[in-house]
Amino acid sequence: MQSKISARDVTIIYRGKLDREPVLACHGIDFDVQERSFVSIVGPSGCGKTTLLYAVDGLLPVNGGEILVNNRRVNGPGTDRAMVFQSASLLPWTTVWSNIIYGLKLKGDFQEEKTAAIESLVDLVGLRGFERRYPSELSGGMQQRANLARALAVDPDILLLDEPFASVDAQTREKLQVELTEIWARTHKTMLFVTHDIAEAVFLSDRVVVLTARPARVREIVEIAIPRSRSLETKHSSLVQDYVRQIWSLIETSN
Amino acid sequence: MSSISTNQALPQAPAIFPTLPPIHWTERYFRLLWGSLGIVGCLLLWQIGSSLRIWDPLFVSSPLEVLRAAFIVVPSKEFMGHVSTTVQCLLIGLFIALFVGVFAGLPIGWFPRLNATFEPVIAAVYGIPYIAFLPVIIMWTGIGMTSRVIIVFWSAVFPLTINSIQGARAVDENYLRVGRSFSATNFQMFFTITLPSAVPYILAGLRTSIGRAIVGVVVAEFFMSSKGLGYFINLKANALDMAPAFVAIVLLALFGIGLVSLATYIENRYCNW
Repeated sequence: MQSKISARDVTIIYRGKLDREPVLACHGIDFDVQERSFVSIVGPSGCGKTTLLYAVDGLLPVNGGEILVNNRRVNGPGTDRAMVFQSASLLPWTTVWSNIIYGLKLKGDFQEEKTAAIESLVDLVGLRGFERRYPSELSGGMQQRANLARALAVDPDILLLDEPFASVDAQTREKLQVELTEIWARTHKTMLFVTHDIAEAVFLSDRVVVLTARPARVREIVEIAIPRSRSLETKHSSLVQDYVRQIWSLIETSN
Repeated sequence: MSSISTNQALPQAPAIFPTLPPIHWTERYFRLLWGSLGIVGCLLLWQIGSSLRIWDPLFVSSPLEVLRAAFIVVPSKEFMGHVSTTVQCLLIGLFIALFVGVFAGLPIGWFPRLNATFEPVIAAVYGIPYIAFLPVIIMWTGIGMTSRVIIVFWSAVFPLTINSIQGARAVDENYLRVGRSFSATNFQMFFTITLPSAVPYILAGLRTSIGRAIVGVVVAEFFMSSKGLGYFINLKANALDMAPAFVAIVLLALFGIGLVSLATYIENRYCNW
């Protein structure tokens, strides 16, 4: 299988505002994401996993090493990748529909004949009937469905997800996790998923990249050998729990 | 011996919910009600004071006198000329201020170095009462429409600029990242993220600017015009013809209310997120 994303000895120095001190966020990171696989990145909070994901998207420059996407070096955002952000990233001044087609509009790629495709996407993420609402009228879970649809609308090869379910209530989160595995299976996207919820990472992924505390380094990459078409029962099974325990101990002994 | 039976029928839920107490119209509309009462009360006091000659009606007129004068003055062609001069000056000045304020303010808010450079300058100039520039502006452009528009512009441009700066600075980093992630050009970033996100700030600035612009237009007409409502008020008051002067003053108040309501309407209509 072909490697879709490769990080080679990646070092990222994060600079916030102009007058803030730079921070060494990631150091010497190596990992690969195979085509159509689901890979999660976990690590202690504040360790730089989101920074790493932004670098894969091209939102942040790499200060050492390189990130390859489709065997080409990442120099900035591209149409082969799309990001599902944390909550509160839908543009609040416009409707759910306009938010979903935002990426297409920017590319000048939204014509009438695309409407049907977007409508089926709206069905896929379960947002039918909410197209003309404003984001503030939606629950946290519904907002994240719209966020997912916006990323899928540009039909990228790779979906980058930055703790998309972090601020969703526990019941909705489990539901969305199951739906995401279904969407993943149906759309054949390559997914790179950042989370601090280890059970979520194990349940969703083929492989879990465990990072250390800042500066983030790869502690270990754990293969999740749980057969696919996983359900909520899988999530609560001892199989998942064993992996969770293993990853927990990796994180705790990472310093 | 009694035992707890699990399949005993639950007590029947009441079929009818208790009726909720109705809200009385005096409570529902209490702001409107008491607000109107305040205005009517003040007018009444004014009328009583003038009728009982507690103060001299020659100097302060009275609501009924003003109303009577309004029927004579307002339809006259001369007065309408004054109104149209003032409205023109006001709208032109405000429009230029809006344009300049937004398109200067947003970049100044956007680029940190521009912001660092210009913010102290703007704060300093904003602190100067614009009336102080009046003689200077007369020297520059003489007495006429241009100089009056400059005064209106000057009086209105700062709240708009400062709010636009704030609006551009306050754009949520999350939204900017969304734009960049979808490969938006700088042009697209400005029109799809920065501008819409700053609109509520701009409209708040516009509301402040409207009040200041009305003051500006009247002051300008006092000193450098032979037309307009400011000139008209000055003229009538000097002739101790108070009722028509008050008609013009009330009209200015109505302009203010009208323009601010328009801004509020736009805000509610398009910024209800």
